Amino acid sequence: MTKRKWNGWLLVRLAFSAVVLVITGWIAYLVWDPSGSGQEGTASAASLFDTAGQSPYKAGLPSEQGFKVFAETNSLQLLVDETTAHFQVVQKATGNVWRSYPNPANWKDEKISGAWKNNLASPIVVEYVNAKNYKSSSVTNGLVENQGYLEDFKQKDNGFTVTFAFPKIQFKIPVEVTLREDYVETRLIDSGIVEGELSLLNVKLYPLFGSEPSTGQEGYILLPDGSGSLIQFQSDRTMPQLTYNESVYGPDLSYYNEYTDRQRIAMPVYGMKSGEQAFLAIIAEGESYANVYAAPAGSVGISNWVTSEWQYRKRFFQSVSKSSGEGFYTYSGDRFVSDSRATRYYLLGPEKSNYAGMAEVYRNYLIGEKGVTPIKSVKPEIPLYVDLVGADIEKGLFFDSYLKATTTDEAESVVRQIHERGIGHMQIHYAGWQQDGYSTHGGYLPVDKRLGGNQGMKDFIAYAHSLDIPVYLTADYTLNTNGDDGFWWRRDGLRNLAGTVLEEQLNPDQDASTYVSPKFYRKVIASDLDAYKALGADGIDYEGGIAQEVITDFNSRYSASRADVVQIQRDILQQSHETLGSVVASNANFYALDKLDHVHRLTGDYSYDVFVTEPIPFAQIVLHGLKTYTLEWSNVRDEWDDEFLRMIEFGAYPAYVLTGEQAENLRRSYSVWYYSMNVKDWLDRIEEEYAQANEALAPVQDRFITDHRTLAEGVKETVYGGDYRIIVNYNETAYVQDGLTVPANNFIVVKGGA
Amino acid sequence: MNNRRLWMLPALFLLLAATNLVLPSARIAASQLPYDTYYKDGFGQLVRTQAAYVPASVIGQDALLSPDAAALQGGEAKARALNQPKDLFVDERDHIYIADTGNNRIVHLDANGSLVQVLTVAESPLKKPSGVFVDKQGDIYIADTGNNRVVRLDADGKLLKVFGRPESSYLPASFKYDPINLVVDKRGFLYVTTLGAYQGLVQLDPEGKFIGFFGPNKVAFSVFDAFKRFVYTREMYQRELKKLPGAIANATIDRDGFVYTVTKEIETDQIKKLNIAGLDQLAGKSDFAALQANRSYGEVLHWQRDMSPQLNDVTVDASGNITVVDSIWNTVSQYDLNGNLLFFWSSDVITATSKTGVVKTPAAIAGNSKGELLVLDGTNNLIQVLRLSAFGKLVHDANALTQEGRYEESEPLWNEVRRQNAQYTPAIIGLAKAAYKQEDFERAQQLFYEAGVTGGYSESFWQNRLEWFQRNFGLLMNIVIAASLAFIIGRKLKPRLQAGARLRLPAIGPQSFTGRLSHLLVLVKHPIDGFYAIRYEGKASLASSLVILTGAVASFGYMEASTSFVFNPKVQIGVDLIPITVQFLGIWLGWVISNYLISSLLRGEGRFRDVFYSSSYALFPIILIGIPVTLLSKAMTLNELSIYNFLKLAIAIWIALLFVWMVQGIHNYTFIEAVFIIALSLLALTIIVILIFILIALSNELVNFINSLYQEVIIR
Repeated sequence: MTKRKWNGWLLVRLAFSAVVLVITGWIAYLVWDPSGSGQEGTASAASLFDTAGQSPYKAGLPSEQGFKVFAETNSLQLLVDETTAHFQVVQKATGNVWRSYPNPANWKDEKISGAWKNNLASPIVVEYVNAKNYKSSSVTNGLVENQGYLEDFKQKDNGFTVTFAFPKIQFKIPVEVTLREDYVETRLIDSGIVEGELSLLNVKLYPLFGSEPSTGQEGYILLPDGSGSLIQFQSDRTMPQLTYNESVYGPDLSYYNEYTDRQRIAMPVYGMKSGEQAFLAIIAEGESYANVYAAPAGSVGISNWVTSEWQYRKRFFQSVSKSSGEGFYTYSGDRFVSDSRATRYYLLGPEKSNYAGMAEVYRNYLIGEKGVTPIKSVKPEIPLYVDLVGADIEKGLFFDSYLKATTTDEAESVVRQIHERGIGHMQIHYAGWQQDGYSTHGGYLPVDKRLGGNQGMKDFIAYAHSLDIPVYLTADYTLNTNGDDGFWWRRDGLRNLAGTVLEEQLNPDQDASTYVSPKFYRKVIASDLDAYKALGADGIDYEGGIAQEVITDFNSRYSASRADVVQIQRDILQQSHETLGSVVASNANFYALDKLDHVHRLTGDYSYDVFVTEPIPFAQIVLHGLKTYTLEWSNVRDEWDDEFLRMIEFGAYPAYVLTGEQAENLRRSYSVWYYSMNVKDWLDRIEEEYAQANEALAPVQDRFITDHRTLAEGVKETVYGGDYRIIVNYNETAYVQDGLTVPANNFIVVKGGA
Repeated sequence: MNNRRLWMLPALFLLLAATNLVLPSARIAASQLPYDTYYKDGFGQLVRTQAAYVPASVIGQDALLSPDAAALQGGEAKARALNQPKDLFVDERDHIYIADTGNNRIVHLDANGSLVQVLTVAESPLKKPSGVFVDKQGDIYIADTGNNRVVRLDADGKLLKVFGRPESSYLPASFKYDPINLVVDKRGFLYVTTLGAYQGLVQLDPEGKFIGFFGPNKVAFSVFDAFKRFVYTREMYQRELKKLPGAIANATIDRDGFVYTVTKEIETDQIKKLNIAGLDQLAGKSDFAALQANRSYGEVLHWQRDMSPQLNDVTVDASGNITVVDSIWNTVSQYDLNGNLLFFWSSDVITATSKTGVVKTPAAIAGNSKGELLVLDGTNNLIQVLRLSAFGKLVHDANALTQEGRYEESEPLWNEVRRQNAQYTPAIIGLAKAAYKQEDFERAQQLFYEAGVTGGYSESFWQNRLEWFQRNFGLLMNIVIAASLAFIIGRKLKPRLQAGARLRLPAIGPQSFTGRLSHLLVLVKHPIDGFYAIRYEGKASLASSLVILTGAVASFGYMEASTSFVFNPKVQIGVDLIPITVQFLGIWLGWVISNYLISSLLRGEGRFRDVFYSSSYALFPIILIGIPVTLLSKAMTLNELSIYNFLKLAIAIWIALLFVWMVQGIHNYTFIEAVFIIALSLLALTIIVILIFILIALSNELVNFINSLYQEVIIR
């Protein structure tokens, strides 16, 4: 009896010790990693480098005499120096030269010292890190610093291929340069990249292409910042050390993002004008993995330069404590692999060497290669866009309370009142119609009963259709707050690199909403589309993430890379378009453009960086005549007059966000805090603004903007073809020039003439 | 052991990166200034508004390094950008003077930001000058901190006078004279801000004679300090950290001669508007004075709770609007001449870049005649110029009319403000004042209620009540006459009625439910005997005491939620009854438990249920007086505040006495014993609460610790 009991006790103790030992051993194994797989890899990588047989890359610029003609088209010529793999593009008509390296005329004035001087002259600059060591910081270097050399330099049709070898850090990066009819294309070949022990973070290929110092000529860098902004060539700039570096299609929330509070890059383009020559760079392939990096004169060297920074790994902040925010920085493990990574440099001669010319190139690219079709037929009057807010919720102690703003009956009355003011061409976007209002996501259908339910919505849509007014239902499927649609956050939430489900919180006093895996929301939308059709909706107005946010999903069930997410969103738009006939998205990234019928609330602002000298309507110049677009809602403007004039200057149509007359106070609502939305406060303004905008913009609805420029400080001119110009004067005094008078804070339309 | 150390090692490499963790939201609005502008009403609720000021330009390096500017500084080699500038002054011509502290000079720019001259005072060089002031004649006064003096220069920079440390027997020998800033009034008197001088500004006459200290702050003296002074010995108290009033950080002067000061490291009255006698003109002037007994300036957003704002500088515009900058949260707050908030805005600190309109370290602020604000950035060495927006101008114009008492003229402007921003409270207040002026008291009352202004509401209500009395005077008189007649007749009929009533009333058994409830009447007349009866005669049951407790809680909730807005402004934003009720019940239950525990230790005779029952019964004044007082409050104005307060006090005193008598009655104590037991019970209650808090805090820590340990193991 006693004996047996004693034995059992021993067994338990032995089993427990065994478990502890196994766990300890397993953990030690994980930490120690005895297989030494890293070393094996190193040995194999090292054997690939043959430093003895190669002449190392020389510091300094290539000699101008070493360049040979490699390729030629009707307008361009590609000259290449075989010893450095640098190239020149010559425009045959003008003799203008764009170099892939700094302008030799100013190289002697280059004050930057050491490694960076070599980097500026290098055809390729890489950033890498020793990812195995948490303490190590990243290093940015070119070929010279790494005893680099060129390997397999080969001439091919229209260009050349070469592999840049970095023996010291054991990287090999093959690239290709090709000359086409009106552009030169640089391309990284991901399949051929060799990596040793160190981790490649990003690559800048021919970073100084087309760069020029500020002295000697006028010029600017064009950034795709917001609607577009310029950094004029300038010496003695304020805070010269600042640079611009942003991810194309916005930051990826699954990684660490340095907080810059900048506008998202919606267009994968950038450009530079210097003197009478200019180039526009379009990141044509693999743009989801690219950053746009700009260094105005004085920040990194005396040149103004702007380039694509190709991302291979991103930084990540690994938090280990929820309460204190402690953690450490690490990097994503595997390299991002893209089928192709290509930047095209379109070269512009004197007649097109400005941002309007660049916009034209991009517009033609969108039409020719991206399948974007220009507007075909237009009504005689411009459209007015009205966003109606159905309802929202307010944070309560235990339950959120429902704030009703516009029922379907009231929506009818709003539309009637506006229609009675003589505005026939209108488009309605109805938001906050779903279950529990605007800030509740998940289980959108049926329409909330408190607003009138499905039947109320059908009646409203039928009424709108009787006036020939289309109704779009606004929806954001990228968040979920209530677990409906079969969403379980643990299973279906979007996860970051560490596997944490991402959440969004607009304000620390509110509940967070969960991000949904893209592959999951694609499923949900596909099953909801028929219900939209049954309601009679003319389309969906996608707000939030779709067409706007590109976030890598590390949820193993639904894993999707940035490029996958872009494709998923395009599929969704395509499918919505097919089922409902039309689709709209807010402030969309340009990859969605061919699927959209209208871009809503397109940004008309920039990020207020100190180095930006002038915001410009680049996106609008590209879009006008291609797609309709609006700027921020008129009744949410900071400044009524200035932003009305900006709307006219940018060729945008008016848009309002309104509620019915009986709306509850939405001040404390989750997201619809807007200053003043009651329709009765705005009818007069809508009528007045619409009349003015209609008069100016109705005749040119299907025309492209052919030029845009600053006539004097605060006076801007937008040109629609040769015979139609709009001049806007933001100043407090009238603008008088060449017999034209633009009154203060007003605009004029000039028709006819050249 | 060794193993464990191996584990701890990576933990040492942890980086503290809490501040970098802010996730950038991709869902930013299309039009997006680098900061959001807010208003905060009397209840502390945020209201977003259109931007009051928008970024206009930046005056930076190029102002001093351009070829022209370099020539003025004696060639390119000698040209220098600003270096840790500390002060900014804009004169009447809008010329800008910057105390370029790090370069030991004053920089003088014209209205366009082009360099006019650089002042170093060659005959007696400046050393770390950190303040500058220019008077009407164009004479330049400099707080030359490094030389412990103030200097006066003429417009061209020639030295006129040096003000060293003033000689005066009134100036304590220990006083350190480190001038960091100064203002000069019309008479030529100097008000010098000195580093850490809690005595106030040093006031000097034009000859440099010491006049006195001007506008000192008061020492904050808390109840705790009083306790310490009472308990501590004299030596101990003196050894405590010396309690000093806050030192004035900066000052400015307006065209009427008011001196404005801002003070750091104090919690209230950070801004003072001092008249010539040194009296604060802001105290009690604001519309929400009734709501904000201790007025704090320098606004913060709700989530910026962990650090209070530190106001660095103040500027006043032509209409008397006061603008201050806070160096902790980079917030700019603007108040009108009576200290009513108009706007405030702040932006997140971004390390990666610098934006037009956003300062990293606000060193000084000044305004010019165009209504622009200039904010000096001490880290980025530049000036951010902010332009008044159309909305800001509209609010300024409307508010100026209201402050001048031209209410009718202000009405259309406020209407426009309200149309553009339906939630902006100053517009509602402005419209309410206009309605009051036009004797539309109904509307005024309603608007004042909406805005949450009790004073105005009470006055409008007074007018409306008067009108109601006047209108219904006849009816009221008839009711009074009818009531008196009924009373007289009733008295004549009384004996007969009583006889009848006595016959019909059902007999109330003492042990029945109603009988137990009616025991309350005994408690009113003979409280001690009544409580004694609860203990020994079973005069209360669980059911009856629960009914009374529920009634008391309900009445308490009713008082909190339904008392007139005049006496209970928070009803305007809606009172959440659940937390109040939980709190009330929690304290009550805590009392019951602690009293039972204490008394059972100290020969108390009451059982737990007796304490429970009688503590419920003792709450009945809340029902008896509370409900009528709440109803009555709806007919009262602030003029009858004393009556209202008296009635509320009566409830409190009665309940307190009932509790004493209760302890006496059920535990059979003397009065003194009862008071002692109550004191002990309260102490026990406090200890219980503290223990609960500690337990919660510790278990939270434990959960966090285990969680981070788990994370470490999983990740590495």
